[in-house]
Amino acid sequence: MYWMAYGTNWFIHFRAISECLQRMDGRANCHMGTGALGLRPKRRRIELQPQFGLFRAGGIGYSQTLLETTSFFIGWRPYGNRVWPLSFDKRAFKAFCRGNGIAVPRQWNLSQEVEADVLIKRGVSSFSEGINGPYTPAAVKASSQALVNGEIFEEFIAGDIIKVWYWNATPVCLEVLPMPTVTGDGTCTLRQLIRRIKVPHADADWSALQAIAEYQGLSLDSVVPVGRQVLVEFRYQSILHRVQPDFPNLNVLAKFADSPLMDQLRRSGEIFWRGIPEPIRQNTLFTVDGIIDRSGTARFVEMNSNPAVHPDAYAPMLQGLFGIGVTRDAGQTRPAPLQSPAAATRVD
Amino acid sequence: MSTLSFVTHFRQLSISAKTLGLQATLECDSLRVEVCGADRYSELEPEFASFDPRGPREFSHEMLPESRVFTGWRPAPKKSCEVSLDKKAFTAFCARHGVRTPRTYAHASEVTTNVLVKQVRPGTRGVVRGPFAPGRIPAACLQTDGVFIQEFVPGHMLQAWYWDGQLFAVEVRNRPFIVGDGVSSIRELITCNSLRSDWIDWTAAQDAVWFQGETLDTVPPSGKELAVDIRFYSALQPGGSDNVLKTVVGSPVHEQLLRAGPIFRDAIAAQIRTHTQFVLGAIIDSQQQLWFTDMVTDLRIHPDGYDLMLRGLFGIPAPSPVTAVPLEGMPAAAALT
Repeated sequence: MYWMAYGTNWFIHFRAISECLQRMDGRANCHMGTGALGLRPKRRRIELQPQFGLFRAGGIGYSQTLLETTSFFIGWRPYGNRVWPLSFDKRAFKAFCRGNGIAVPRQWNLSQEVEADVLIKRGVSSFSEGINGPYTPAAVKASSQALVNGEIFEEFIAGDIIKVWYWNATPVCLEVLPMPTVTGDGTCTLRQLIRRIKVPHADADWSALQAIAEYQGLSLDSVVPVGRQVLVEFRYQSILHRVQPDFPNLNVLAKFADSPLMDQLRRSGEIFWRGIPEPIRQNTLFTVDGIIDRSGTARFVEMNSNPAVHPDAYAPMLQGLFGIGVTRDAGQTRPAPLQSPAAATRVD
Repeated sequence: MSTLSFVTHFRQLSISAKTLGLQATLECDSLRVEVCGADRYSELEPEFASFDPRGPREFSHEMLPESRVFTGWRPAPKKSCEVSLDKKAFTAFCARHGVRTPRTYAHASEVTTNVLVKQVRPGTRGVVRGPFAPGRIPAACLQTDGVFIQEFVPGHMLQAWYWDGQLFAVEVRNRPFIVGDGVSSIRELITCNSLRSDWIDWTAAQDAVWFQGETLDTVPPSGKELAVDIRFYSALQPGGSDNVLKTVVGSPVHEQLLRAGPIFRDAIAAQIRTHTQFVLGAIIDSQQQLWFTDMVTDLRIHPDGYDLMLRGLFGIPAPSPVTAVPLEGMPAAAALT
């Protein structure tokens, strides 16, 4: 049913584009051989490139061509693919953020230095792959766990998960999801409680769930006491996030419009955007993931240069591409110089 | 592959057009497709629907806010026939043409086998009650107008898809079931195995469980499987069904399906028969005999049918279907009974 979810349902994307073009007095055709979209507003023409999703062993993958295994739609963008160092390496991203005053979780490289609950993450990975934990500092130190292949200990922050879509420096969509929990009834084991909230027919990663249980002093076969709330997932949109009726649009940007969080997202957006190398900076869509901590501050964990396109991103995208509206262009302001990732690393 | 996904339809139509040397363009506003050949063109109309586990509903040619699934591009308006609308007409048609179908009973007092109670004219969201053992049909089931009693045939559920009478897709499903864990009740297991709790048909679940001598509050032992519904579409069924036509080719099931196609095509009035898809529902019993239960015309387009659709529209000969060897000395229709 994944293809029915709001952002992966292709015709929701068509509807979003169509609504934008109506306001711009434009039209569009889709090439059925490739899925490319030719836009023609106001005697101009731009081609948007499609991207598709598929299920593969161990997770999902993206493809720019329509394959026999294609299962869902990711979105259109005015380019094929763009990758830059901050989007490629989580360590570089966090070093860049720290160097430029953007809140991120703390990070350690040695188990004996760990001072907070942590996740073990790979510096380079996609789709929430290669994340282990959480672990308490005591557990990390007791195991003397050595990191391999560019892994890091990253502070684990329990809070709401956020994903922000930026068109250039402007936040254009925001999703805020709680970390899923179950509540004990004094009868059921944690495994049974998880099965009750899990998306049916999807395979759960029980070893990862066991690690989350152990972090809270439980096992999957523990009977959870009455009323005890147990965290069962910390990743964005997992199979433990309850399917909502009618697969609604989860963009809550408008709800946060005048909030301190939005101020933070706007200020951070300027800096994130300028972290993209200049030759590929203009007219770029990217996402940044983070956690909202107890103080309401977003702490950012990674930047994605190749995200699924939220359908609500097309309006600012097309306005920007056709020079309509107020989307920020490079050179409009004279921003403060940035700390480069390398310099930021030295600061650490 | 999901047959209700826009991506799937787009891909299959794209491949079919390309294979046949046709050009296809999709108009962004309306999602109409124009397919062009050397000397003619055709316009295909899109169709959208909302969704619940009994399948798509509230069909529309326009994307509505509640549209969640895509039910295909079609070259002509939907068609119907009495055999697809009325179960009694279907049963009579089967009897006339020697097609095997579960027996029916005029009155509950005559019932000698396990049975289902169905609506005679179910529409797209028909209600089926049962199965019930003889003498155990709830009186309330029979007090509704327009119901009939049909023998319950255990087996796998099958849907066979035809374009102009030619078989192109077969989908087979087991009856929805739950697996006991020794702790949870059947009601809890149904709830946590359903995509959405408000999609569960508790009457259907109760009938199925009652038939097996249990109640919804029974806690089945760990590992015990229990059927909890009898329909092809249910809140407990995983997403889509695969087209398993290739795996049944050469089997007795395939042979029966090939023979049924032309018979049921002729149930559609000659003047509206061309460019029509229909679906036959059946049960496969333990001897691989098919018991045909219903016919649906043009409810939604199956993405594997675009090749035959485009061939029909552009006058391109269809490939020869893989045929089974006729049973010696037996007329085609008789082999179905």
